[in-house]
Amino acid sequence: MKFSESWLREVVGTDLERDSLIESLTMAGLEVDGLANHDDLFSGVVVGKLESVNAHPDSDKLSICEVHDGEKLHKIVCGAGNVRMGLLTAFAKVGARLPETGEIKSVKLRGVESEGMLCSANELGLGEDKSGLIELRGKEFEVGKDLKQILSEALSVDDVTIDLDLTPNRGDCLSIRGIAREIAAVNGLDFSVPEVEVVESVEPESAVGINIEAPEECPSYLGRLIKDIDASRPTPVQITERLRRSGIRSIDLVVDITNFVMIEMGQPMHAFDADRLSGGISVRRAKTGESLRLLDGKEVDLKESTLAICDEAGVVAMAGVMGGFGTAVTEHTSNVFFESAYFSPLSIRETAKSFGLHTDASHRYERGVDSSIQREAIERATKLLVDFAGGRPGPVVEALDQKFLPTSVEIRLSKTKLESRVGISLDSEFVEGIMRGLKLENIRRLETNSADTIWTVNAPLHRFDLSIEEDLIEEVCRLFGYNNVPAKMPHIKSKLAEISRTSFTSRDFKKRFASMGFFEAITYSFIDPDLHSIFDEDRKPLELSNPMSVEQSVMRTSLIPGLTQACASNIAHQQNSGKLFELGAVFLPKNDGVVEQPVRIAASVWGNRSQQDWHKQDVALDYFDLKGVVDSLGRWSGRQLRYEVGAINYLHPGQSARVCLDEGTELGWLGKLHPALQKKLNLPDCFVFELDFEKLRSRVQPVYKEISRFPYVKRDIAILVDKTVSASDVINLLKEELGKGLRDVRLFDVYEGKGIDSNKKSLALSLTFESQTATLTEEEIVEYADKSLNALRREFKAELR
Amino acid sequence: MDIEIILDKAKKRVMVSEDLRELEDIRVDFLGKKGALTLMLKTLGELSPSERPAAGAKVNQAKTILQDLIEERKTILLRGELEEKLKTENIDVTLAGRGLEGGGLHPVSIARHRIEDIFAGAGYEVVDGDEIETDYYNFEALNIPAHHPARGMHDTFYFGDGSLLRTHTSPSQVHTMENQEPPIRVICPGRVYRRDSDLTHSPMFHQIEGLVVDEGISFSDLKGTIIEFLERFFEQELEIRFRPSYFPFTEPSAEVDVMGKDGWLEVLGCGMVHPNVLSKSNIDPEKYSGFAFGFGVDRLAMLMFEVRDLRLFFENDLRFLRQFS
Repeated sequence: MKFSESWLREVVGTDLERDSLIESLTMAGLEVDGLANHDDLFSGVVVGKLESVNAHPDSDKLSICEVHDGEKLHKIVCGAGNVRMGLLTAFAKVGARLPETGEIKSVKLRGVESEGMLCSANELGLGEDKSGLIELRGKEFEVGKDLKQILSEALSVDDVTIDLDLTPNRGDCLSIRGIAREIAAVNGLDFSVPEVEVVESVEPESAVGINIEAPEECPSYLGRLIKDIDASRPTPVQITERLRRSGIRSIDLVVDITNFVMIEMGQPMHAFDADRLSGGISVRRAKTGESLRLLDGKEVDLKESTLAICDEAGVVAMAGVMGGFGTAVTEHTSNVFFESAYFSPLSIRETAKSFGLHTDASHRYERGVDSSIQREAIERATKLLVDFAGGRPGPVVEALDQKFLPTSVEIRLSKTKLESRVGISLDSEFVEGIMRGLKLENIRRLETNSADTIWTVNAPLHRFDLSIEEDLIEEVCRLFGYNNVPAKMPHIKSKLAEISRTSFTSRDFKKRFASMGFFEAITYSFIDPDLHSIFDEDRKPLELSNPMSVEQSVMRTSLIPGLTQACASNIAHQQNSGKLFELGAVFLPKNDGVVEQPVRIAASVWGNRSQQDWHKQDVALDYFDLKGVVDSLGRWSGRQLRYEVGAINYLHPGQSARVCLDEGTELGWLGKLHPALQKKLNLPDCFVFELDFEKLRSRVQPVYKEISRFPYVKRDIAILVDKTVSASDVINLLKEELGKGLRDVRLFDVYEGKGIDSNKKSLALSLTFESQTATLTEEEIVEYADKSLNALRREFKAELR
Repeated sequence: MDIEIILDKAKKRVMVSEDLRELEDIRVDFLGKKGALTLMLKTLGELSPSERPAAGAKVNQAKTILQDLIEERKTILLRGELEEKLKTENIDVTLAGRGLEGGGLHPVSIARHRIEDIFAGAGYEVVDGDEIETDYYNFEALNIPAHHPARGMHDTFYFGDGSLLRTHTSPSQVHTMENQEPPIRVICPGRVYRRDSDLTHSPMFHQIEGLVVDEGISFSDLKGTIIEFLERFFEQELEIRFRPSYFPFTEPSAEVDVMGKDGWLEVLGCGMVHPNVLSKSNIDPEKYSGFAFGFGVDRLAMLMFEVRDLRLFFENDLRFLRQFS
């Protein structure tokens, strides 16, 4: 909510310094979001009168005008459409300054010298309108008079626009009156709402019938017909300028008046051109098939939930949101019908939301409007209209269903509870002082017993946000001052930490990855559907109904696309080698509509094994660099991992493995990105893995194993086996066959090629034998070696080399 | 030959000897089996028994002196030899070391761990939660019914079935209250999502919510906890203010500002848990009260590491990530 500071001051009558005023708004919970000054708008601009208008000889669009500045005529070239003889407009002389344009100089336009510039409201910084020259109408605009002086005579120049970022509970502060109440309450000022002058009806016959058919949505609707107004009269600058400083654009006199009343009192109003209404008004829900052309020109099909204002011919306005185009007031309107109603917040919210509309009126109705001010508002608007546009008002017609109007609730407050929730002790008189400052009604102190004091109060209708005890506790705490409440630490029964021995935390993993040279990435959980289908075409991802952009519209089913993208963008920034990991959730929609959200841990590496350095050659990273990382995770968690040959569509079919726990549970995948995919994404060789975090995190806590006091013995053997025999099969077989006696087995060379059969490979193994009870004898060693070879021969037809 | 002359001659040779081999030759020449001094001992028999002890002592003394001299010289020669050898082994000690290139945690994780540790020290438990939530846990249970204007404060991402990406980690609070009896002390960190993107807003960011529920918990306890936390996090005394605000799930509600270089800086929102929120999770609001607070981890990380653009956190540029390890 934007408003003019001087307007507020005029209503609340305070001499607080500006800083203190701002501070007290903020500390009352009405956060000040910004301030805008008005003293640096423009300078050197006077009221100019167009004495002649002629076409420019070399242009269709430009005109050459003679403008009188009160002393003499100036020749001005102007492109605006509304130039005409006799027009009073803003004339920026040579040397004048405009907020956007800067200093005005004498310039030649298509060969004709222009001694200054005629301005639109927008160019002056006075409004949004840039459709043509600002038209100055009203007796205050004397030809030649300084425009800024005129504005400052109407309103203080030492003014600022205060922009409040109001929380949704404080709908009562969407008006000068509401803010004034708060300022008064917070600063202990005496304030009462100014009386509104009642304008007597002079046209008792001019009444429009009102019928409420939807009392729950509209419990109260007041209307008034005012005849024979002159709608073409200009809005006085006091009003337009106040509205402008409150962020509202001037439209025309009638609309400006309704807006003025809305900002002043918080009651949204609507004005119909009464001659364009047929018959009486009824308020009802729209019927299917009904449509309405809105004020902004858009045609909308109404829904059955839409609350509509109708005349006998059909819908004329979308209640509380926007009026209709066909019944809008124009400068030719002579009979006006004012509407001042109370609509239920829920109904307006639903309508506004379903049509995606947000207007100053709907904003207020959605948050709640004081249900007691509709009559006041219509009187105020009538008074202003009659003052500025003449006219003869009819009576105020009111349709009301008390049953659905908000009522003032009685709220109970216990002093003990108040004190215990806030953490301070308070004097009863002090609490009552705050209650009075807040204009709470029927404040009653019920002495129940010596241990507690109980009050009952009624919330005034403008404080529809107060209904329970906690609301009052907050109000007292707020006015006592949050910053006056002492700070202390809670006393809670202490508790020692529970730390699992059988599972690692995500932090354990992150630190482990960092120590292995990986950097942690955080990629978006939503990705481009095209990217998704490159990786996981067969799975339909979960789609956002309202994404920010297509690139972020489906939920990831894997961390790999994001990490690959991070790799690509790093390469684009000349980061030619890198190791990234991420720990985060993926989202897997199941057939039954349930979405699984498992956490995964994934990594991607590309480029060289280490940074270029003096002591080593650049070596390109490969599959085994990344497998080494997975191996080490297995050792770390004390569990045997198994690598199974397998293929998943985004990995190279010959350089990928399914990673499993020993008992067979799949952990995830490891491998090189598929070359076709790399090509599509314009990536170099990139190696990735993705494992299930929950399965990986559980660990076997190490238990001490006796260290042998006897020396171990090493025997190296080299065997020939078929290429299809995997290293892990060989190693597992030996472990199984030799049991405890085999302390370690390492595969230290793999050879294929020259000198051996083309479908064979040579494996060199180093076997370490050990006994816990004695030094191994030569016979025992030979026996072990023979046992190993026999098993290899038996299972894999291995030949000793 | 006179013993003095022999010793003198030996001394001279020792002094000019240049390597261990020459020194060994000298030793053999004088102290070896056929060495000059050894031979002298053998000639002692030629002396009268009364002269023998004195002469013997003299020869032995000379032997000792020479032995010492040789040892001394040996040490000097050895040292020289080592020095010569060392000279050939010089390396450029300023060359880069070999081996580990460490990685690093994301700055958001670093800040998050710091926050977790500060609270864990006081007995808070860390609770995780799902990122896709139901409307009930994200809104309804937190006193934000459908059509509540406060829903406008959360630009929510929805899915077709009405489920949503959580807009805060508060749903974890609700799950906790449903499953745990007071006293409750938890913090709930995690990713959250809102439809917003600029210098200080990202459609995905990180939040940590804290919740304390017990008998007699007051606004004053909330203030103490928040102030102490912020001062522990930033490791300095701070000017802090509590500003009245509004969240449907707390009452009273406050926003907390810290005085920074350029004025007040909003760092978190907090308040006393709303009685409706407690009762919805079957906690008696007459018996128990509690406070809750929530803040952006990214925001604290930005302050901690002086990062001005939030979006940098999600670009995963190695040139950025390397700076925090």
